[in-house]
Amino acid sequence: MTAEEEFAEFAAAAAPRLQGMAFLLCGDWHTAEDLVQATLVKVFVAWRRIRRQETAHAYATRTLVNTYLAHKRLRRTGEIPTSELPERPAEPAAPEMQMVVLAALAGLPPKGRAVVVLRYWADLSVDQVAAVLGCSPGAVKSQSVRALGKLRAVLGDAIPELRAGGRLAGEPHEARDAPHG
Amino acid sequence: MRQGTPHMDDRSLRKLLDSVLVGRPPMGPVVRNAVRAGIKARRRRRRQRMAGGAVAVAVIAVTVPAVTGMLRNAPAGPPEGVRRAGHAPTVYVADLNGLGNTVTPISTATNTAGKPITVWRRGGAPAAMAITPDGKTVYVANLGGAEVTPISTATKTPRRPIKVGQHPIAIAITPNGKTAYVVNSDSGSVTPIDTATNTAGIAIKTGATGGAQVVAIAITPDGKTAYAANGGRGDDTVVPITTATNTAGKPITVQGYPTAIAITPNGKTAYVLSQVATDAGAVTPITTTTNTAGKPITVQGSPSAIAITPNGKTVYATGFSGTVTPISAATNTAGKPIKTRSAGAMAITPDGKTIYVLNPRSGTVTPISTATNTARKPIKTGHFPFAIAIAPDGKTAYVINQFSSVTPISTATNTPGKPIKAGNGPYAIVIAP
Repeated sequence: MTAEEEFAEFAAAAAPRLQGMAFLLCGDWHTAEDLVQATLVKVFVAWRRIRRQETAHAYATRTLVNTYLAHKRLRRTGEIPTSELPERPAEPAAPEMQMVVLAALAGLPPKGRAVVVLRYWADLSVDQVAAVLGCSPGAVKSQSVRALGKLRAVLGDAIPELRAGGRLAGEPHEARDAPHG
Repeated sequence: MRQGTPHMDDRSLRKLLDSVLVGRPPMGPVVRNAVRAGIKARRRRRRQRMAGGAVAVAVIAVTVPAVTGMLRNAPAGPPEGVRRAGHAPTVYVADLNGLGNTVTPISTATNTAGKPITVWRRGGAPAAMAITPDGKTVYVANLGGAEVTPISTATKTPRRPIKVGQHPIAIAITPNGKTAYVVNSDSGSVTPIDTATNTAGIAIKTGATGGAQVVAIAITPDGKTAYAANGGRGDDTVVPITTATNTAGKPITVQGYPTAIAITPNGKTAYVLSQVATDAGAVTPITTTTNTAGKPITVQGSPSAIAITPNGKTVYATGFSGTVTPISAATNTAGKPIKTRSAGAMAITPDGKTIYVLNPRSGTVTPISTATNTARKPIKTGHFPFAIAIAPDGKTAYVINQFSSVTPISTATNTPGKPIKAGNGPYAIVIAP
């Protein structure tokens, strides 16, 4: 298999995950596709160096998040969290809920949002998130606490059934006083 | 449970996040495109290595700073200047895609792209550019690499990169051209660069809490004060920097977190645009003589850009939901918002008659007459237009379609020209006269 075929195989497998991550980060399918595209170009260029699969996935994740953060820092691109949502499926998933979650995510600072997406959607460990963002594990934890507190404030109120479900509804102080372990 | 996390049910959060992804559209041919663009990037890199540096091209050196699309920094319009006959200004477009290490010059005479200038050896993110008032040097900030590379516009060659703080995202140059101030977003500081020697001075701390994120900077027309906006981590302040001593003054608190600043041509007021809620913003006027904040003016939509007409009478703030709010500088009151399609970056023509407002979501640009504050028919651009600069003669507006191309627009007829391919992923733009 040539390096190119290998890359194509990797990219095809990684693209859906990257697309999902990109969308959760930027809240817009078009920008998500742009982010994935930019990420894959960078991965391709670096392919010979990173072709071992596990490294490639980590590299792609890091590149995607950094491209998003670079993009966000400029603030010129901003986003419209709720006004023009992508076409919705015919299926149940309540559109209001989508909007509420997107709006809640949009209320987070870019890094906090990245922490939430990486830890709770992409299932990375604190150390892995720290490696992706280039910061300390401690910073990841404090970002998580703050971001989750903020999400809880928005989502806990907006989605009563989740509140009834329990922990999402926790008061902000619970977040700080949570037992470690 | 993971250490140090609150009692959030991980699985329910995951489910919530997944629910947002329902209905994901199929992606375009991203893999094929990546291979194509990647092969091109590799080839280019090989060619550059073989060429061993750039070739000198004789160009103009004239005197007007261009109006840039990065309106957070831009004062109203360019001062009057003389353009030498026979010389056309050059548009510089920074490339964030691929290796993210080139800046492509476009001749405004022919609207064709020249040879890309490699501004640093490795990849990076050329996120911001600024040009000296004499038009001789373009400074390019590498967001990914904590450095700034000067480009000589006469030879279109890069000089040695200058080390600055973490994640430089904005640059402003004093009107006398002697100092470039670089905003280090993640160091919470501003680095002054002596443009005569291209050396960095000691970084000026602007964050009250030591690590605040600085996002924008603007300099008064007399060059005496630079205003840096701390937009991250709950600082929500604007810090005045005395340029004579490069020292930071007392932070001025504004409503919401500041994202952009514009200063009136008479230098009396700095208008700070800030985000107050997800879909609401505020503009806070700061009196520059006393450095005190006035009453914030509410603007609609998630705030995007701010600009002031060259006569200093009207301040325009754009909001992403598609509103442009005119504010009278005399009374600091907001007029009736003008509807556009999504309203991102904007630029005002040098004569002050028209503002061009980009609509990233619909791929169009809306011209607005400043006399009547009415929107004209939107002009079609490429996908996701998000940065704009107007040539010093005011005849052509150059619009960056993010990651794809540059669309020239004739301001006389408001018609788009043929898109110009400039690098792999055009991102930032500046025009050298």
